[in-house]
Amino acid sequence: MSGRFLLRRAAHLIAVLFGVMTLLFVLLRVSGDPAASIAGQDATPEAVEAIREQLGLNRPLWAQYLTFLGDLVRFDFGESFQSRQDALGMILKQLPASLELVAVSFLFALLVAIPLGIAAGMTRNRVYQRFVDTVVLFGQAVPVFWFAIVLVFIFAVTLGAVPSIRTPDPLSWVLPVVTLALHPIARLLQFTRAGLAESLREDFTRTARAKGLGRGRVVSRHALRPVATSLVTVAGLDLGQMLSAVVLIETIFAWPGIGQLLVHAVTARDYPLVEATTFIFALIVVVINFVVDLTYERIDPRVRVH
Amino acid sequence: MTAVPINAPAAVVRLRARPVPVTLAAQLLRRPAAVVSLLVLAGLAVLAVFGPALAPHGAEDQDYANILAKPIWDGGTWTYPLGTDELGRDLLSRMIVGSRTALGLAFAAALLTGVVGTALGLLAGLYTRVVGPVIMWVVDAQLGFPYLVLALALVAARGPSLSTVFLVLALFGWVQFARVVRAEVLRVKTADYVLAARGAGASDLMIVLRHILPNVLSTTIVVGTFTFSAVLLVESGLSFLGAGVQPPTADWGAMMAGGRVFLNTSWWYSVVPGVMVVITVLAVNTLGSAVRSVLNPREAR
Amino acid sequence: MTQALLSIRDLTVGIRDTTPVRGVDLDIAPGEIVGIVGETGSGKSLSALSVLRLLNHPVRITGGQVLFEGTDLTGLPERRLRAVRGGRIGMIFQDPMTALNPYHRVGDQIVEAIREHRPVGRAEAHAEAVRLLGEVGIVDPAGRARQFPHELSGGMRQRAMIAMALANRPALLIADEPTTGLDVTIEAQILALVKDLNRRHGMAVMMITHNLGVVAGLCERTVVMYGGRIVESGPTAELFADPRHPYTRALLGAVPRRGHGSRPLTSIPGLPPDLRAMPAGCAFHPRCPVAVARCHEEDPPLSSAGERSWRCLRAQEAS
Repeated sequence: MSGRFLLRRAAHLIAVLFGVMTLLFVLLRVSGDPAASIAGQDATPEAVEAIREQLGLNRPLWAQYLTFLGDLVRFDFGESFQSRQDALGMILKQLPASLELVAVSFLFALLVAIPLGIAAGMTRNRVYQRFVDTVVLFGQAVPVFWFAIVLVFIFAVTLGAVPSIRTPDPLSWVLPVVTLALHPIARLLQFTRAGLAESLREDFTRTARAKGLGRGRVVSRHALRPVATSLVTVAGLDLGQMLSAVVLIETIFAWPGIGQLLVHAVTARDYPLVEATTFIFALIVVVINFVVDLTYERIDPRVRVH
Repeated sequence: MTAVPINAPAAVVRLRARPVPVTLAAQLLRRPAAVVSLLVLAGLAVLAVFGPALAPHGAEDQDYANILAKPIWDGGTWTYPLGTDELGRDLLSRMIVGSRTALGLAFAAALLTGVVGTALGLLAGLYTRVVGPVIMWVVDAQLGFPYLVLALALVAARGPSLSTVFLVLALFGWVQFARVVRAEVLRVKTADYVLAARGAGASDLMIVLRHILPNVLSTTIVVGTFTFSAVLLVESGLSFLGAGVQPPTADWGAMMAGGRVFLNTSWWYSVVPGVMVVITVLAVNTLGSAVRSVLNPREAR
Repeated sequence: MTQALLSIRDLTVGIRDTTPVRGVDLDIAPGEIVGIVGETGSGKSLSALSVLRLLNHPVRITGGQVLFEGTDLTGLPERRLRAVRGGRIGMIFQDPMTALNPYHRVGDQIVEAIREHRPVGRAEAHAEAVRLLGEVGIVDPAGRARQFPHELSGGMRQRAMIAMALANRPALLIADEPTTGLDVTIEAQILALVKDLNRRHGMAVMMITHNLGVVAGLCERTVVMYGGRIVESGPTAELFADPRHPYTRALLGAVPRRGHGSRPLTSIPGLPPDLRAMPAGCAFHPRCPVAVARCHEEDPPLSSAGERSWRCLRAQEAS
């Protein structure tokens, strides 16, 4: 594995992180008014001005930006407006719950979608193809939170089979995981099927058959390789999407993660918390991208720089 | 016998006898899926445009005598076919009027991002030295990031309102347009007929308008349809979280949130608006797929 | 006369409602090198792929037999056919960049071919793979075996593919346009290699190509295909000296006429036939310089004399 490649990717990703946070700064400081939101709706203009001065919001923008960057590299986001606790600390406490949920859901999606997709790529059975078409279509058309509500209604409210919010009961994981996995399953299924079907028509697959290899080996050793590379890319994008979905899922199932934290922070216009949460999300995305790049390099020998 | 070359010219210039939209429409109408989608979308458009006129009641008229009334299939009356909400407002009317908000926002945002994104994509494709990479860098950054998080941050800054929601949605979709258009431009840029036009002295703008844009147009339509669905889903999500359209404005996402509390007694309150979203997205996506396969004929599976 | 190694009888290949290969008959004797010449769309590649049943749905064999060492391959159960593929019959393809798996090392791909057919350990198979790479003329075979296809030059890739096809000492090598797309000098080397292997191992070769030069230097017998049929065949030298079918003559750039001597043709007018709308009668007649009304009505049968055969109504009269 080339060190130079890794370094380049790392630099690129830090640039992305930097870009996102700059965008955040612009959004929050330029188009919003933190002082007003802290002061509240009935505050006098003097009170708002006082807060503005206190937070250093009346300094020139570039000065504020420098302070912002300085704080950023020290991971200092200040204290939450609501709870007066260290913003980053609050987030780190709730982070594991979100990470667990996303990880489990993603693994579940992989375990379901990939075998089904492989089967779909290999067979010409019309019924099965229609089934896959339906899953792919609906999985991407359904709003994830609506799907959650429907499942909650059927399985929790009506049947009482599983809890509707997060509890110590392991069964309470079922609905959140299934709803969160829906969209990734649809996408992974679509790409696996298409990728394999195309791969089976490639020249090197024909060569493998000409060597006398059986169906199983042809697929596993030859046809699946190019599919793996495109799946890694799709999986990376899907993980990013799941981070959006997890915000909604945590809200519905009262899951104690950073998604729920973000929603509360937004509703309360708690700027430090919003900034800190966005930063953590961006960090997670950067890490995911980095892992995707690493995996890509391992799988595809043509990418490796010599 | 006159000698004719054995081999036909390898690159056949794409000649259009009729403008793209006409051939597109003709072929589209031959597919039943596309026709159904178009009909559904036409119906939804009617709902959205004429909403308040079609609704049996005002979307904000409260009827305290009939709180959480049952719908037709559960012993209700035709006065309130889908029942009422916790303030006695007719759910059917709110759904019809809500289509205006949801679909209107999605359509406007998709259109705006379509224009902006296409323009940026053209620039990125034409000027690949500096402008292009910069634009694509922004595209890549935004593409991998969970958009809802960004959207929520923006709402935190500006406070939830209609204008904020529109801004958020408008910032969402341009990325896909830019990416796809840029790819098309790069592909077309090196085509023989473009080089020929260049050689004949055509200006950059001319080349863009007469050769590149028409080719790009068809792909933009496809991206546009899928962007519309994506925007609709984001909008519903935001409203669901309370960060989107504010009450008392009727909106599908907000209704789904409102009905959650009453899930065990009035499940339809939450579920039915979602069904509307699903129908819309399905219709739009089906149409988009149909347009895409008309433009690039795929082999039968 | 020894029994033919490969005997294709009345092979027909269909795809939906077209028939790109119609009634092909072909024999290859052990150790013989036979060339199949034709334009794109003549059906030569499909015929070659049919031998090992490597056609992809919806293309399929719709009639005829392929007898190899006495057994009909068309009806063979998959398992037994796989023993023939890469075993008794090896096949190489046109573009080694796409025909070799870019994700696996060259050596590993050859090892796979070996171990599929023989119970041989990894180390031993690897050593054999290196030896094969050396045999096909690759310098530093051990080093090359560890590399990926994209790290080899075009000529080396094709040699590697040949090595892979030879792994189990096949009695027949089917080569589907192996030198199309290679530089002329490299092409010459590859053809020399094939000839050498034929001499040393007695391996028969079915060489598919559109290049008459390839056929001239390598093949003992040549078969000319057009519009999905064989239109002429015979020993290469005789074919070149005295082509019977107008298409062959046109290809060879000489049109012998009674009393007129030779007049070179620089091109064949028209285009190859659209397989979905084949002309009535003789497939070549729309482009044929000597076609008459009968050619439009009658589908010429295959005539033969000695080792020559041809499918032309006018040629019969001429001879």
